[in-house]
Amino acid sequence: MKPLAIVAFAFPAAFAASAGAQSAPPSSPTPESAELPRPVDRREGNWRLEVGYRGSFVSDSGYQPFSSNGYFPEFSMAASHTLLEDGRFSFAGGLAWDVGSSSSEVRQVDPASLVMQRFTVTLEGRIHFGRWGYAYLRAAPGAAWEKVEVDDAASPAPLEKTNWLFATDLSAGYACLLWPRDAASKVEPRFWLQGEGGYGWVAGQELTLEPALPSGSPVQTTGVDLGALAMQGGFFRVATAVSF
Amino acid sequence: MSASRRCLLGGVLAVSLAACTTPAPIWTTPIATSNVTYGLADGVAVVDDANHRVVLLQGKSGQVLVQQSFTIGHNFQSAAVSPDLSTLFVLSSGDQPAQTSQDQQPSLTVIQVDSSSRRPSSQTYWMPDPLSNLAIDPLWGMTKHNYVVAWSGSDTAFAENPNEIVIFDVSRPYSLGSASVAPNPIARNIRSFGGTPQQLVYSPVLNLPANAASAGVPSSNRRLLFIETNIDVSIVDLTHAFDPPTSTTTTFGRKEITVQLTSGSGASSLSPMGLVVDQTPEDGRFAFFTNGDTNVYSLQLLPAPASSPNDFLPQINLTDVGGSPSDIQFVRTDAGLRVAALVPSTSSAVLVEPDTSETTPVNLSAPFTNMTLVTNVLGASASGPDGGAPPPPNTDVALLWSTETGVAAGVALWTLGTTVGQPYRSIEVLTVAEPIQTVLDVPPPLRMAYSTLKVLATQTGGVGGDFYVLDLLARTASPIHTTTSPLLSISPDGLRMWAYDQSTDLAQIDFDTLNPLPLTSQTPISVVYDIQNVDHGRSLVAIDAQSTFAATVFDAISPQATARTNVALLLEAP
Repeated sequence: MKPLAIVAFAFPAAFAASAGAQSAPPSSPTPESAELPRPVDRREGNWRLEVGYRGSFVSDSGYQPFSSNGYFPEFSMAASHTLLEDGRFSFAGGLAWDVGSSSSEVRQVDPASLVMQRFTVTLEGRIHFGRWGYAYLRAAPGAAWEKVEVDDAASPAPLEKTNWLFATDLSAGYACLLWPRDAASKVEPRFWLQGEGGYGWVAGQELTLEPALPSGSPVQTTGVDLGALAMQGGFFRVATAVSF
Repeated sequence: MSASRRCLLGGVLAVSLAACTTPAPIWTTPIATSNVTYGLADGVAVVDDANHRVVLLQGKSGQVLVQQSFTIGHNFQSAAVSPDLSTLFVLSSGDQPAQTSQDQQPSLTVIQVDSSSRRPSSQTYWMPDPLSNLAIDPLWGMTKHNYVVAWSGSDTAFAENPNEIVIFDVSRPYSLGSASVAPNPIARNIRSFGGTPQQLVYSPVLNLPANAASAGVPSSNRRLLFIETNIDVSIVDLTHAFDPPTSTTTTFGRKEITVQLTSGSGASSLSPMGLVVDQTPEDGRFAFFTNGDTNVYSLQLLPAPASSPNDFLPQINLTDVGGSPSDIQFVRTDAGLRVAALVPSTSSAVLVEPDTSETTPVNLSAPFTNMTLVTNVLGASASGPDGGAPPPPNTDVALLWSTETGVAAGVALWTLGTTVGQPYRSIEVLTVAEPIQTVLDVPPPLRMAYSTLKVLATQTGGVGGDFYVLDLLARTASPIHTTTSPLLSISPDGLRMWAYDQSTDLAQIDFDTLNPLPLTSQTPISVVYDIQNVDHGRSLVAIDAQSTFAATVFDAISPQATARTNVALLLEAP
């Protein structure tokens, strides 16, 4: 966790320094030219909610039993709060939840499915372009819950395995302001459309599936080892958001 | 949109599409479930043709199966197991017709499990043409050279030569050979007079030519391959099959000898059947009968003229036995070597003197169709007929039975030491109430007491589903009752047998007590294999050859309450 903590604190620090260099007011303004510094136009409030769609391209061979094309779709939700603001830059922290599943028929006989839920803390640095929206960099460490299941006709119960795994996303994206696009300084609900791309990383695990038998079952069954699975790969996300 | 943006968008799309991966065939291809399991002494092999692999399942204590995959050639054709159950031979036809240089040649993959370390290994031999049948040397592991012959079958490619055989010397590695060194394997075309191979028979080690000393010519030990076609018999000298060419006009190996059964003047043809070879090395004799006449053909491989490519030539002798034979054997009687022929149409056996064609008919109580020599298991302990004095030494005892549908002929022991003088006293019949389907040998046992046992499987659809354990020494046939017609499997260690049907019912029968121990498999049983574990003990593997294959594994020695089901065997990642 230490490197991520460094990232989390490095973003705002860097943005603050950069913002200072670009838009800091004169240190001793003359009375003739004194006027209120023009507020930076971020066009958003302090809170932000996102709902979207995430698609991941998992190249790991361990994912092949569950997908015919290596694509993993997810529903995505996030909430964030702006924590720091400085000039054109801001930093927000939040929580995100992604959930998705994929299924296939292994060797054309056994239904196999994978469900994954990803819970992450989002750390997001933003650079604002007024009514044109903002660009952002996002790091999202967290945990993923994976459930793998294979229904085999010979097994007395579905073969399955569930596991919690460390997960992290690194991504960059852009948020476009949809409406309303005026009233720069006014804090009011605004709607956004955003897209991002990045790399998602989930720790690997060995898929040693065992039949989900009730405890005390007299039936002795040995499961199956499908090999190692690491849900890692590039992803994109498109989302709509509301800020207030 | 600017060029740079288009470029960027195109790049993103390309990366996204590239990231979409197609699953490997191991996850997508359907599984063939027919005739793909083979029992070895130390494991069970499952051919997964779609993934070009053999999955070897080996037992461990705790009824756990461990598996290992071996790559085989594309398009599995057939497989066979060596007589000692140590080796699996897998024949693949490759990619036919080959269209690119990447397409694979036909091949033979040899997967061998070391009997001491239990570690498997494999090697591949490439072949020039696809062939679909295998003939394995019955003396596998007992001689210096281990032969395997691939030959053509009925289902084949668009156009092929059915008289091509490919000879592998598996004791040597794959080799392309050179102008003076034969490749391994070596392909050869059998000279054809219109026939195609139907059956291949290996000889034991023969000292050829026979009668060499009296002819004043040298002799040497030889292995021969007899090829029964539908109209003749060809003899290939296996020992000299890899010899370099003797001149620029010849090829590797010595030419085969063809024994033609038809003169060419008539339209009718005779197909050789039931070829047997005399086990005495110096005799150099073999015999067969045909499907179209009542003769027994006895041949001896005598010295050939100096100009002949082979140093032996067969001398043929025909003997009419009065009816169509159903089975023949070389036997040792009190009057010397004879060819014994069973003639069901006359309910008799005929002993043929191979040189003079003198015959001795022996009346039988029933039209027996099959004969197995049991001299080796009875040996000197065999008593004479009616419990009398033992037969003379070096004479044979034959077990006779009938596989004719609906004929409950029982079994008979034919003591050949008293045949010529008192043929009517040489037969002893044991009553078995049901028609016999086959006689199963109990393998060379750990305990010699079981070497005198045979298991008589009865014909399905018969009365009940009994089978019998025949004790040749005690002259008893103990019935075992079952509610259905069971399938039977004898353990390779010769201590027990397994009866099962293709539901979940299974029974162990210990040869000590003959008491069935009923068991239940958790999955339907397709076939069972009694195997040696990699650590210690033995396992009974009851294969469910459906879906992704499962196996219920029992402790083979004490199977009660030990069942463990191993599921989705062909889903294991390689």
